[in-house]
Amino acid sequence: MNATIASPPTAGAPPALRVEKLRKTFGDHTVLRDISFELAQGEILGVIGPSGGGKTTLLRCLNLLEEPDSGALSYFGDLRVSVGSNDAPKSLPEETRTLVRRQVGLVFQNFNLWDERTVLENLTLGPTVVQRIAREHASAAAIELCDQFGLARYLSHRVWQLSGGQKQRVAIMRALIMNPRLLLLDEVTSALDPMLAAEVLNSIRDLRRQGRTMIVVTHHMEFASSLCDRLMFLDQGAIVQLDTPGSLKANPRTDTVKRFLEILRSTN
Amino acid sequence: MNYDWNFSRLAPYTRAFASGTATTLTLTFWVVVLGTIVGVGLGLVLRRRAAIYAMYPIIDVIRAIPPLVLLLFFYFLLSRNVIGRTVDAYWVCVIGLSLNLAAFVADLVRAAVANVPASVIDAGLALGMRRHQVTRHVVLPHVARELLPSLTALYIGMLKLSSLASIINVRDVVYAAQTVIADISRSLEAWVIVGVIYVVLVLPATYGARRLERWSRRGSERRSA
Repeated sequence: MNATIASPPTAGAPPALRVEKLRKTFGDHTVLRDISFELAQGEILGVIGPSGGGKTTLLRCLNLLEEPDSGALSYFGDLRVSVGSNDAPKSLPEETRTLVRRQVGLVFQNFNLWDERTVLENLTLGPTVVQRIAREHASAAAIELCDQFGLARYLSHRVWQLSGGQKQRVAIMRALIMNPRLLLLDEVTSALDPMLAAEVLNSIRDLRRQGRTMIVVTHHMEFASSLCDRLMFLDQGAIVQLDTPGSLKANPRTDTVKRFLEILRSTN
Repeated sequence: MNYDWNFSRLAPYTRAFASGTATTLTLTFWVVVLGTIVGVGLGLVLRRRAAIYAMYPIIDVIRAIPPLVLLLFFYFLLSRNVIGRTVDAYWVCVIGLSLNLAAFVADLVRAAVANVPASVIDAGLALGMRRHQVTRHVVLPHVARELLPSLTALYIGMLKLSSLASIINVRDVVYAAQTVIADISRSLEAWVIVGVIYVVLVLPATYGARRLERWSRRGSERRSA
């Protein structure tokens, strides 16, 4: 089942993201089936659903780390990417992919940090290489971010010396320092124990207060309900329900959604 | 023992040994620099399937030929009779040993690049880096760290292999010993001196390589923990 639900209206601003009929297959396996939705600027969308439902692939396609087989993506009304249509190129040019990635930050489930480098090096490599910002300015920005995230004393630590929660906060900072217009967070607490997860979730709540546009894949139902403007239930590569947290919990559209929410409630 | 050891007879040849040692060191330096540059370049090219088919047979052939044979081949190839001008024996040696080193480095680099975790590359791409930027700023530093112990062992091997240079009349430390032997017939003393010089050059490098290996392994163990 596919659903297209308009995002909450924003005063004349184009949507942060418009996804039209996004499709992705790996061999014979269809992972995303004609996904369509819109995300308003400043909105936070939570993505929930069973494992293998296509959540991570959706985020990777939005960041173009995976190239969709077909569909169209429009970012902030001024950057449109179309694949699989007759007039679209067979493979997206590197120029397009890097342009999108510079606007759309992605934080990985397993951190994907450069372990043998220091926190400072992890944070400054992107700005100095991609945005060609002078090293001292990038370092100043990194120090400011570390202050915000409570990691100022770990700047010169190698990543492998940090705890899981600290690593995930560094991963979020590494995406944020690029100042992305849209931030994608992929189950950023799933590899962490509850204490460390709480540290990271608090950091994400701070991002909401800053008005960041985000898509958050999570299994923390309470967190998702309190943080997100809308929740998307994704199963077998299709959007089963896209609603406000209250509506989704009060009126689950299918038995799968209902069962999933019950299980989440009992385990969270 | 009936032999009358007399190292003082070698005193007049101190400058010859010093000069030979300097030649050995500069020769090794150029071999390491050129062999590494060519080897890393080849290793990166070998990521492509077409390059594997085209380049691997050549690399395998170079690796199969003993360095001494390679040196003699280039010595006679790069002469006036064949190419119209004669390349200096020192540079013939640099070319021959560099090729030998490059063939081994290329294979190491290819394997190391193939083993770079996708997550390390994804992280760079997700930030908006171009492919070549990911290669330069993410993949190569990662590969360098993984390869450092093996490369250092290869470099130490090259320092010792440079002793073949005297065969084609390069005035290295072995050549100095042969001169001494020809002049004053003090073979044992001359070879002891040469042995000591190699030990002094090689041992610090060996200890350095062991430290590098421990440092590299420590990072890997922490990563996999």
